[in-house]
Amino acid sequence: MISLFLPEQMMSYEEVSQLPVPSFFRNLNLDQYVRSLCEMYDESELRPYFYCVSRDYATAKYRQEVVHDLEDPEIREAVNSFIAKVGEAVNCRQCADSVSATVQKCKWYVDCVNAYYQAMEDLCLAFNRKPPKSRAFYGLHQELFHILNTATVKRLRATSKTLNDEFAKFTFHLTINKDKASFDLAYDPADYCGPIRTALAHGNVVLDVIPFRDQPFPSMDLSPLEGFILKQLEKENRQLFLQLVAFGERGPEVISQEILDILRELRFYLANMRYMERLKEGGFPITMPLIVKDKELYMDDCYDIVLANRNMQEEKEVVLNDIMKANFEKAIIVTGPNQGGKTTLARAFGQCVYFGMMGLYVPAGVCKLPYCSGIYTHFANEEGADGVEGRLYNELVRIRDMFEDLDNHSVVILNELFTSAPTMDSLAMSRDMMKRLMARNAIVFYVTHTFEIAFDSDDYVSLVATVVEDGSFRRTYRIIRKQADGVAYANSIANKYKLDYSHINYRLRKK
Amino acid sequence: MQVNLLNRPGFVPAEDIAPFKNDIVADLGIESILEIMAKNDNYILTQCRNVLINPLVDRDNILHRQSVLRDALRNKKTILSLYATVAEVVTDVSNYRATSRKKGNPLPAVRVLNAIEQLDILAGGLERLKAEIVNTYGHFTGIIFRDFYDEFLKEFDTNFTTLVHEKLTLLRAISDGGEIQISGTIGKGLKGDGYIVNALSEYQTKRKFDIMESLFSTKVKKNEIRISYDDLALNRDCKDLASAGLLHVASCFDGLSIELMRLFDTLRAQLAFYYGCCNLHSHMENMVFPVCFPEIVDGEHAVTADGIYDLGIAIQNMRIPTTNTIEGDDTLLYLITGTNHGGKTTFIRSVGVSQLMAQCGMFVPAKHMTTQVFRGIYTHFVRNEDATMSAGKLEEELRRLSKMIDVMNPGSLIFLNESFATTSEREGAGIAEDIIKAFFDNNITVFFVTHIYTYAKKAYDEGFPRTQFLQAERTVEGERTYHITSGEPSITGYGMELYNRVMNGEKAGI
Repeated sequence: MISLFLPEQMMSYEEVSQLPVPSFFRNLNLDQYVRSLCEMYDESELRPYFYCVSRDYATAKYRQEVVHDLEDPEIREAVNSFIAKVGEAVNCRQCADSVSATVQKCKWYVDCVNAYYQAMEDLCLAFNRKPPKSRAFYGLHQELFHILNTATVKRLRATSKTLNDEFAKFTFHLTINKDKASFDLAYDPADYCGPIRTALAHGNVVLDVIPFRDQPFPSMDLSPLEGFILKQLEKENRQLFLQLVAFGERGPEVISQEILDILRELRFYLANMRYMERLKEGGFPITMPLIVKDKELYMDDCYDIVLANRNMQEEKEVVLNDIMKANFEKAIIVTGPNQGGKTTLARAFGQCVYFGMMGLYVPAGVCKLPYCSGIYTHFANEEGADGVEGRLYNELVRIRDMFEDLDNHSVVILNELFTSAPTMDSLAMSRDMMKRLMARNAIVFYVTHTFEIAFDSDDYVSLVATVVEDGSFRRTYRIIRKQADGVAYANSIANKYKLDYSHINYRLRKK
Repeated sequence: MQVNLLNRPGFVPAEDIAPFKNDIVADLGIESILEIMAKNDNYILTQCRNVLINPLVDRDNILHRQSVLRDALRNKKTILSLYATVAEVVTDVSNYRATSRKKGNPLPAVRVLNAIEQLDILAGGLERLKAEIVNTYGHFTGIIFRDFYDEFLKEFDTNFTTLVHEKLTLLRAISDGGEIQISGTIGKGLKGDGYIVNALSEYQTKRKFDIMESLFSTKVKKNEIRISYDDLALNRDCKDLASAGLLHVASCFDGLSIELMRLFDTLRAQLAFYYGCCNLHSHMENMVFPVCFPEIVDGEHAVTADGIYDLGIAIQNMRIPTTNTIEGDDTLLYLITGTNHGGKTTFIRSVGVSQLMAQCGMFVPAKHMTTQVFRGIYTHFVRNEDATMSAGKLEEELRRLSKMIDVMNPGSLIFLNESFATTSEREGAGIAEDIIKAFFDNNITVFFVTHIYTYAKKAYDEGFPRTQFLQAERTVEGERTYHITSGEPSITGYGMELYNRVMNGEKAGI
């Protein structure tokens, strides 16, 4: 069976569930994202898929195609209805298990068979009308078509359809009074509500007959009255009831685990899309990144998606920042005051890479992303550190281990290294480490206090967190590309708010 | 039906042209005006505020409102009684909903009763409103109110109201005991499905005959089977099914319920605005404040007014303050300098309030006003009048302004009150120059009250085009008249003088 996640092979849900939580998850706040999404849509089953990160260009592209297809309203609707109908089939299957009367068990089974294959057929028809462009959906279409055309399935469907049609013909009619009620097997098509609705519609004729909205007897089992009615029906149609039981009791299991896996994958894509579209409605940009094979990168107006979600609920603002590096540039060095939004930016950067590789939207306005073979993060103040020496030691060990896996498309996000060492040592260590990282050709995002690093190479991009220039050093959480200067945050407030003539003019003209 | 008292049919709200609502309300002193409009009614207050902070860009829509408002002002009593009727219905329904909701999840039979009762309230309200409309037919002379009346009477004609009444009476009778006929089919899992109601009829009290019938039944159809109520489970099921059937019939009225609720809500919201306008207008008439409907021209840069005054202050002081004249002549920049407490803020506030009211389709506090439609209205006031030199304030100010520029359209109107004064004169002038020039080049009309003499003087000396230089007037004796006149920017706001006078115990004359 095809997978919507991996172009080559399929991974069963069981296998996906074995995947470990990626090491960068907590540092990038992605654990919070996953928790919040799963809670919001009541989809805790989807959790393991978040750990199934693609590590190559082809897989990321493969997933992006799926999302692009799902952006099409027609396809999205068809997929949603596929999910709903298979869900209905699963539901019927569970009802068959839970009810006690044999004849009812068998009918639930027939309904399950009908709903299940109808779901497939409808999706195929929708794909015929609106052919999807992704390889994944193309493959899915082929497979579903194949399943529907096997002899067994055709037979199963034919019998269950006949049975269903026969049972659908049954009707009953009740006359209920305060002190008596009677019953017959006729069906009176007269709809008392029709004329009322027509009259209330100010002269427009209402033709549709709308049956009761709510099941009067919601239990899956038969209510006494339903049982009574059915007994009367059985008396008249003994043969058909026997056929139903014969078919239902010997029928094979139809719902396959593989289809259920596909269903989960679809739900994964849709839940993420919905989550991000909700942010978009809240005013935060989202975009599908352009994934490239070279190393040019930009993330305009990027932000930490977890912070955005929280602040959107509290109606607080989130500062959007731009990150940009040319193909030849190898590292992004972020300096500036504490609490200036540097860690948040590191998270935003990492999240864009992660979501990009997942084939999903990224929290940014515009984004170009080199494909990433692995995300490695190291954030200071992680737990499990004993004493100053122990901490530095642990840090170094972890960095050394990280080096073993690096290749030239690794993304390394470092947040405040060697803080426990004296500044001069720390600088020397950082320099050496950067040299090694450059030798590996990894893409490095480095948040540091030792701003001197930024001067070391023309291949480094320097980003600086800005503060208000009034002596109060209040933070703006705006991080801009400029020479690192260690202390003097000298650009004027007006420039910060883009209030010089040409900027205002540009901003006003844009509309 | 559509209610088009506030906006023209098919009106689609344009983009928000006054997105900084809190600023506008605070800077222009809107609250005291709203208080007069609302007369302690919170709902009217909210609605009037809602209209006032959402000025229109569509000139035709402004004229539409003017015409409805003129009609309303001629019929203040009718507006009051219409509003009272509609408001009462809305309150009744929400009260009923609140009490029935408290009772938790009711039995099917109770749900039927609730549904019917709520419908009763709405249908009764509809009758009362209809009576009100019939009684006041002909009061309004304007086409918009008349069309509304006619459409209402056509939509809810006697056939319609009788039918609603009949069906509700029947439903109520049957919920007390009657006969219901239901048909259904067999659905998934052999459960009953596709239920419809075939017929309802009232309970026959001829009980004796019933017994006879059941004993010697000839009427029972061939295939009919009696369901014995001795079986309590079957009995309960039958009752539940009957209730479900009644609820289903009651749900036919859901659409009507929603429609009526929406009608009453919209009508209440729209009438609340006109009611508020009537209150304000009466107040202004009683106080002998000048009031007029502004002429809205189609062009640009055409603000002229005379006898214009700050309505908020007038209401607070209960007397008409100094009035001013404004003679826009293709003017884009009004640069206002001069004496502290000389009436500069009051002046731009009077222009701001009038323009806002004009773009909401209201009358304005002036003897006469001709104005255009601006594509945005913004106020940028320094909150604290005695602003000290602190860049923290400048930061706050510029951030606020920057946010405005993010959304501002060319062709907007902005009132800057002592902006950029929280830094040194030289820096302030620099910032002002850039910003004002950019506004100018984007066709944004600016009223700029400033103490930045360097900037004002330069503008005057260089002869800025399309600019008026206005001054808070002082007589030769140094007395403030609170009039704004045109003239060369002067070097000081005479602030020290005021300070000395106040500090030395003299009355400042304010």
